[in-house]
Amino acid sequence: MWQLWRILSSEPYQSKLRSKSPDLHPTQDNRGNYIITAGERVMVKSGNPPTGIVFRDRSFLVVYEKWSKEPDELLRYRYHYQRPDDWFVRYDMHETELPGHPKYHLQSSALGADLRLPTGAVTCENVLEMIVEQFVP
Amino acid sequence: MSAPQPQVSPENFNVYRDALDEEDPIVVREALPAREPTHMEAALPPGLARRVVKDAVLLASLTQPMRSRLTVAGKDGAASVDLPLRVDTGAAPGFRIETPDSAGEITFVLDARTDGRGTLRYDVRYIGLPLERALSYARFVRALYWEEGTLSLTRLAPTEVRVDLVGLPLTLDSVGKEEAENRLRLLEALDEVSRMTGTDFVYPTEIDDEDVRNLNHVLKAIHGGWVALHVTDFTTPMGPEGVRNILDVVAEEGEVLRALAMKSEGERAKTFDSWVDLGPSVRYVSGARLATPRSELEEWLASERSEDDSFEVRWTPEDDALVHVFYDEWPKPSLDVARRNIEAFEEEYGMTSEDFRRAWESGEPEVRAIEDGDIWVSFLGAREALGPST
Repeated sequence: MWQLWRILSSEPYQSKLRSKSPDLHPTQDNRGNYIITAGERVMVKSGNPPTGIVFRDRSFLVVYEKWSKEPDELLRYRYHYQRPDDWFVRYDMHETELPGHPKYHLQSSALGADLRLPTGAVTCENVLEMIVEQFVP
Repeated sequence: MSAPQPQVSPENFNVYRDALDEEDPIVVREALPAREPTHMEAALPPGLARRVVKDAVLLASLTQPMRSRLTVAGKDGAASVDLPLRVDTGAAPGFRIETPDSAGEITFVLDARTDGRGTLRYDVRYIGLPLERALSYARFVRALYWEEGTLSLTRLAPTEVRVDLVGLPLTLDSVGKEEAENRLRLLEALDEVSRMTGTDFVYPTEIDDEDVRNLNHVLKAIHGGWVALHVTDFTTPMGPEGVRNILDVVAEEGEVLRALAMKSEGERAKTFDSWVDLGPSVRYVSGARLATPRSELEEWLASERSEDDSFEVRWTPEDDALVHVFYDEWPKPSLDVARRNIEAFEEEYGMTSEDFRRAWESGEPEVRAIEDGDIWVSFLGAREALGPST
């Protein structure tokens, strides 16, 4: 969480955020893993109001990360970026590969709901960089 | 320049009056009701008032004040308040159920006339009430005009007698509704702070801008552990060594320090008449300009100083940079996050979490094909780990 706090409290992110201090929520599960979320719900649906990390243009990023404690390792992520016109892009990393679901993949409204393009690993910082460089004026 | 981390008290920061960065503060000063006692009066539907007169014969023994309970029962639950009540059968034409003058914090008057007309009045003096009681009164008011249901009166002694008074919701004008909603929002915010931090509150005598600002600050801290502040300037206490160091750095790199982080071992925020303990924090600003003239620092050093002496060096945030406050102990792991997500999954996939988990654990292909099924499982694990009482 400190890592995300550090990134979001610096430029160029600060000047592009609507709320300058978005709420990040830590949770832990019954296996000792830590879950970090930004947003009311991880599942984002068309027409949902902005939640999570909200940008000046009211686009928003919902974050889900699951970390193991020992070793301190990222096990699963989902970064869902939603724009006011309902366009979205979502990066996922699964703990295990599923049929039709590459371990690292990307979905986008422009591609359709059934396409999951394989990607490499991304970090939340990579996604934030993409958003502020390519989307938020 | 590396980021030094001096110990700096939160009081060393001068915050703008409109301090928080949030565009939607949780509690809005302008919206808070100022009247005291709060007054709510509603006309009763004619038929109901007539029935109340008829049924009230059952309560005729309430000529002396007796312990009674007003209950709102609706489909979403019940809200009640206990108070002394008496029946004034001499309030012709009809009768009156009312709190005696000595009742204090609540005035309840129900006038029901034989011609079918009637009014219900419910006034509360909130100032000085313990939070829990104020909240129960405010929730009761909301239930009166919010929910479909029945307002009933129960005489509690010597034997319980219950009479349904009126059907709900009562009609209330929009101003009254807004006041009631805003008061409830304030009290629920205080209740959340109280539960999360163990702080006791009473309903405040006055509500000023600073109180509301501090309350919003505390709420933001406990929700997210991070508050961004607009600060005009701040000071850092420095001993002779620190002042010499600043002068050296300024001579080499100019008067703007980058990435300045300052620790506070414990922070307490005054919220109305109580102090809320928020624990240790770090304040971070991306750039701060030295506002104390160098000559002043040099003069201070030139006079004889012991290493225990301290000088308040003044800074201004560069380029209107915000001061970010990060709290070590906030936010707490939240069961609400898990619950909200579990509900969303159940709604989306049309099955209970119990059915889902059973199918997931037995490897049923349809359920295993749910792409975010593993996220659902993790929130079920979080719900178990945090427990129902968290």
